[in-house]
Amino acid sequence: MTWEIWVWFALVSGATAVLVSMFSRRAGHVASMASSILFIVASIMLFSENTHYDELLHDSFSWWGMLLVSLVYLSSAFSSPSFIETMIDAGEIDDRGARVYYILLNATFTLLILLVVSNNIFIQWVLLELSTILTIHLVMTNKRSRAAAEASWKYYLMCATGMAFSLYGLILLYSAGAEAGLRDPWLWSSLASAGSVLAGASKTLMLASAFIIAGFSVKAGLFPAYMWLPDAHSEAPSPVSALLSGCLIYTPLYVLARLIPVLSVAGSEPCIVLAVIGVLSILCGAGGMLVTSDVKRLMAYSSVEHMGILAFMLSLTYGLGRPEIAFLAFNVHAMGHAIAKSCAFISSGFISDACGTRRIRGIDVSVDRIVGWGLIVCILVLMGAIPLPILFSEVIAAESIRGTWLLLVYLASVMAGFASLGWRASQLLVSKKPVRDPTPISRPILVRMLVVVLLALLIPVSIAVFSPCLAYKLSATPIKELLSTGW
Amino acid sequence: MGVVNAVIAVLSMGMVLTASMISDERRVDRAAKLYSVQSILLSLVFVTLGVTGPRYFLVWAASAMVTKAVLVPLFLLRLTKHTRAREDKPVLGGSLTWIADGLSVTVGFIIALKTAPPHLLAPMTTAISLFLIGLVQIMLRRNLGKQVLGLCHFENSSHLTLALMAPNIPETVEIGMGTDAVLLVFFGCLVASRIHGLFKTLDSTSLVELREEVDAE
Repeated sequence: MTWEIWVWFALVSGATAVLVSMFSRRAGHVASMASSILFIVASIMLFSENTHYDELLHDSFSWWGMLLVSLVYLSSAFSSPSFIETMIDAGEIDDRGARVYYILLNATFTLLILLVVSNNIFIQWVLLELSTILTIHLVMTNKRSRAAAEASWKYYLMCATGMAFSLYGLILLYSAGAEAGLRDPWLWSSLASAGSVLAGASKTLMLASAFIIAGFSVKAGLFPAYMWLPDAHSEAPSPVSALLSGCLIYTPLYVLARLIPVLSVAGSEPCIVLAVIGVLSILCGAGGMLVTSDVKRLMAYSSVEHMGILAFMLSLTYGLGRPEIAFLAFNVHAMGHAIAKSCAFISSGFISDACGTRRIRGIDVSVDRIVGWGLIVCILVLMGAIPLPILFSEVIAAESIRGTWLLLVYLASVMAGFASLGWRASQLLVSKKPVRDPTPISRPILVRMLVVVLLALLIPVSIAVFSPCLAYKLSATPIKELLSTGW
Repeated sequence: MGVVNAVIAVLSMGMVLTASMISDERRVDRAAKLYSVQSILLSLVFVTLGVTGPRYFLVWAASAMVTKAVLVPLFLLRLTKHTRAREDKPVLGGSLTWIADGLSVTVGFIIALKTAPPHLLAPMTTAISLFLIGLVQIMLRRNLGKQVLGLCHFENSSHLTLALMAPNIPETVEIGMGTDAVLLVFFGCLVASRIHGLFKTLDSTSLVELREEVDAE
């Protein structure tokens, strides 16, 4: 069972980083960086392992999820020292606060790794809820900021409500499984392999679908309850914004990607609902990007848009499109968004600190060539204007759609997002109204190069689309992989 | 079994009654104490199930007593100790609160009628009603402490549904949910007290820092 060894290796390194962070903030710096590297090592080592289902699971989807969380951890851990030291200098946080920051950051990433490898639907829920609770405190790291405290409250109230809905749905799903006589109805693999056996409890399943989709869509920042996302993601310190936008809002969709085929046994309604929510989220994200004047809020609204695209891709995977390529699109898009968004938040944090404002019209990207142009490239990647994962996945998703009207709706909404972000990106380049003379970014070159290194990672992700071996691995939907193992 | 079902029905009806009293109560400290009573009733439901059925429900009862009847109210009382305990005028108050709660119970009854087996009708009506009363409380009450109590209703509702609809669930799930309930309220009170420190109020309508500034240029 070497796969379990590597999973435990990652979990123990994360837990060690949490413990070490208690001693001093410098130890926290080092431990989080070391732990993020060990997470990536564990993810790489799991690549060639076979599929397994027990209380923990390992399949290509969980492997990809683990890699995604590890890469966002890397970006967050390596950029944190720089932001935290600046906050300490400004008196926005004290030494104890910095230690708490590292404890919570490392604990959140460890919980997220455990979440992606967990086979127990209730444990997944508990981990998702705990990671929400921990990040609420991370959002209000700046102890002086009224806006951060208010954003934390909105995040707390809305996500806790959403998670309560999803728990209710999971209980109903478990009840449907128990009613159908399943052996371990709390295990995803047990529910997913039941197939039409669950159809007998279709009424309970439909109610469960409504609660689960409603709950997880709040947590993922999807329409209609996305209002907390622009507030929380923009008011958090940039490495926390990277964590929130890069992987925390992806994880509910990861859970949904496993549950939707189980819920769809009773009918295709869950897929249709998800498609509608997805398109409306893309449009709301696009609208938000048009009206906001704040660079971090711009990135946050872009996350709403991209979560909408991911939700739409899920609906294509499980009913409205060709499953294999739609799921490949989902995976590639999720990874592309996670890397590009982490970079975008970190570079926008550096630039807005240097310019003394977060207003788009006050930001001068030329203040630092590496970080400034890094931000512009990130935005172009997120728009889908550069042939990198996001563009590829959007084209693949369009290719997988069955039905002309659905294709037209998808293209129109994606184009709306493209145009809104493009309009704001053009404003970053022209018509400067600085609030003060920009101060050069004082971070070491290695920290600034982090943006470039992360962006470079998008190239191998793009290659994955064209590599038959990896593309095959990523196109296998979790349910097909489960059934192919004869579980 | 008829007596057991009757005892559970009476206890769960008591939970709905305390939920309505919490909704109507404008003093957060009193509402926290009422929540403690509601959690004791939940523990008694578990004790009844444990005495007449699987023994693990007795562990659930002990866990609910410690986490929900003691720890959660303590956190809320601590929050109100340093802040003004009385809520400002709610968005919807007085007899309208009771009407909203009555509607919640009616909707809960209709849903339970369609989904629950006949012997679980009363407790499932309670579970769904608690959920809806919690939702109404979060949307219509202005005090942050009262909003946390709305979330606590969700917790009790889920816990009751879990006991009734999901038998033989692993112990890890129960431990996870118990821990989550405590941490949820602890961190909620932490954010609320930070907000009180910065805004000098626990009134949610005063939180207007993040109103979107539309770029008209």
